[in-house]
Amino acid sequence: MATFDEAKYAEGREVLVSVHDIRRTFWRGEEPVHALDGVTLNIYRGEYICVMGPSGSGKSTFFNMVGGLDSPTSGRVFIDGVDMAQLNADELAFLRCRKIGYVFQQFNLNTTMTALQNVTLPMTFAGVSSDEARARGMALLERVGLGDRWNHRPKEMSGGQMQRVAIARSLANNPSILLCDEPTGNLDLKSGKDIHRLLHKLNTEGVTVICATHDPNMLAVSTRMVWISDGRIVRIEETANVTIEQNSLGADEEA
Amino acid sequence: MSLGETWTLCIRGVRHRLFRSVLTLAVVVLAVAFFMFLLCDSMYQRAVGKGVEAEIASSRAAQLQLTRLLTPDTAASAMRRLAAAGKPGGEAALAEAAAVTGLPPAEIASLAELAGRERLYADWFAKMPVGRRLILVKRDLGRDALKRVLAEPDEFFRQLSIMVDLRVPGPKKAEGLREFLAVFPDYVSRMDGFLARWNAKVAEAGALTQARLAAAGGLSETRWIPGAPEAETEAWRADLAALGFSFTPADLATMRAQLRDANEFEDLTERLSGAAFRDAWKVKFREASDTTAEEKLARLGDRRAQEMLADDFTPEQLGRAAAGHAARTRLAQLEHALAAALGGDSALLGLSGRQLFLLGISFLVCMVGIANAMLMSITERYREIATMKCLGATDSYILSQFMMEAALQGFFGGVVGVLLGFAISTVRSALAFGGHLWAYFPAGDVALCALFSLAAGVLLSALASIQPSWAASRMAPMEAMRVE
Repeated sequence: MATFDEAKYAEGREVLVSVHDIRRTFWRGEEPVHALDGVTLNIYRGEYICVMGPSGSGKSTFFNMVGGLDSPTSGRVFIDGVDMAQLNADELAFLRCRKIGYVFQQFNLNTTMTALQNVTLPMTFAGVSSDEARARGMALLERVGLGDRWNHRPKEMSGGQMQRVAIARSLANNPSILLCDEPTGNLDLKSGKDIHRLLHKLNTEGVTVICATHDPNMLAVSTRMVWISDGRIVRIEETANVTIEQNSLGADEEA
Repeated sequence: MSLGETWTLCIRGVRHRLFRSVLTLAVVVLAVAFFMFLLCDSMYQRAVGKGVEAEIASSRAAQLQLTRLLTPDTAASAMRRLAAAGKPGGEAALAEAAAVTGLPPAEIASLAELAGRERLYADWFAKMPVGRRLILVKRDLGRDALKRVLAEPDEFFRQLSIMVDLRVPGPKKAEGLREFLAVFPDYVSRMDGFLARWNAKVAEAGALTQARLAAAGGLSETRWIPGAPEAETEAWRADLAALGFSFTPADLATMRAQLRDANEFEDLTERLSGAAFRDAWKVKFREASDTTAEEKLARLGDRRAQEMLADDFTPEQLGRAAAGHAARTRLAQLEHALAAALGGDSALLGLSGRQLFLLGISFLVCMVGIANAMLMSITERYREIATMKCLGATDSYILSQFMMEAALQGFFGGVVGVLLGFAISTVRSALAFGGHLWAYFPAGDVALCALFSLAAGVLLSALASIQPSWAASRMAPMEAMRVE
């Protein structure tokens, strides 16, 4: 197996997210739990990164750091050149609103709103006028292939459709990063494939995707893979250099 | 993010969640309904009480008018009359006082104002616990009490300053009393002058009346006025009006009618209580024991009773007397029942201390209920809130959304509560007061109560949800990532 050469990989690429030696310690009573124990990683514009690791590995904590949802105990996180530690609550909200799009395993759509209302919600937070939000929301729904279902509520949609609405919502304010937390974890195989294709298409259109997943089909469309275990990055590979087989990857995960 | 957009989002959410928060709504409804019920009830009692009071006063108008015209005033009654005239709406009485006594209107107005102060202090002494009154003014009451204070003011104010919880009423409290005491002797002498002039006119009126009564054969005025030819009584009225008294032809017409009814009733009861009649009644009705005139009055509709009285009274007269008696009895009962509502001028919003206490407790309970329901609704929507924050909602947006939601719930619950409280209190009062409620329906006051209760409902739920909303706004957005 070839090892990952960061210097060569970084050539001609622009750093979008820079994580430098971050640690995050939670306290379980008197006993400290190091969810992240010195993680350093550069994520480049236009990349499609898959993050893997068993539950409890610190994967989620890493996601929260990159997404500006949590701040590290020590170390620094830069998103698009902005030091996250310097931001107050409202500035963080601003950043989350415009720079980062979130896709959740549970979709997290507002069940009381239609697809279009869900998609335009982040635009409302960004202060976009309702007419423009409507036009942009419709365009986004077209882009994920749900233009005709704009007036449906989540209850009337399948899981795959809900996740596509969620992806359209995450793209509402043209974010630099799309942060997906196991986007296919709750979907059947076919819907999962639709989501892979969609994320791949978006990635080729220039969206940076960071994705936590165990799904081999999803790994296949990524550009780079990162393994996290016990709060550390244990392995980084360029997808091009790895032969993906369901069994081999499964073994890696358990390690 | 503008308030308007928050509002739209909030409305959209509430529309779907209204049914889920039925519990919260129910709590608000009950609290507001209770508040509205208490307010409305006290408004109805007041309105009906005032109406009944006025009705009773008008039913006694003839007697009151006669007393005023023909009986000399005492110092106390003159003081009360002037004090009442000094209040808003008493302009006619002030004008009459000026006309009768010939004093300038400015003097009358000044006297009325001072009389108002005297009445205030006199009532204060009268309502004071007896022990304190004994210390402050011995056994004196009214003007005598004030005179005693004037004799030893230092001792009085020294004792008063010890009784810290005893408040002097009126403007400027104790200082106001001192100021009043300074002008008190002068006021008393002016008042005596006023009284003398007034009573001189009353004596003149009495003499004029006596002359007419003598000419009519020595009848009493209550018999003469309704019985005499109209021209004669009109001339009498004109004589009295010329003295300055307010006595219009309309007053005279009312007086004649009321006195006629009163005489009729008097004759009838006299007849009913006569020993001979009592025995005849027992025979006619086959009753073993005597019945009172009251009981007999109630049975005047009976054909046997009408037969017995047919020589002196027509059935119409009997009917009128019985109906009049029943109405007066009902009014007297109502007045008695409503005395409490009319007496409590000092109570807030017309509610008694006990009612206010109940209201406070019920509001507290409601606040706890609403706060609990809001907390529940927030835990229920943990993921939604966290997702919103992931999508870029600021803390203040979340806070305002939840506060707005609570206020909306308060509003809807308030509307229903107002209607409910209104319905309950109206039905209750309608059963208690009957037609009197509709006759004196305080529509304006009820509208005000409704506004008040509605505002209370909105405020209540907003207050109760401050903490839950705050908690929601401070929630960490990473909760959205959590997988259950």
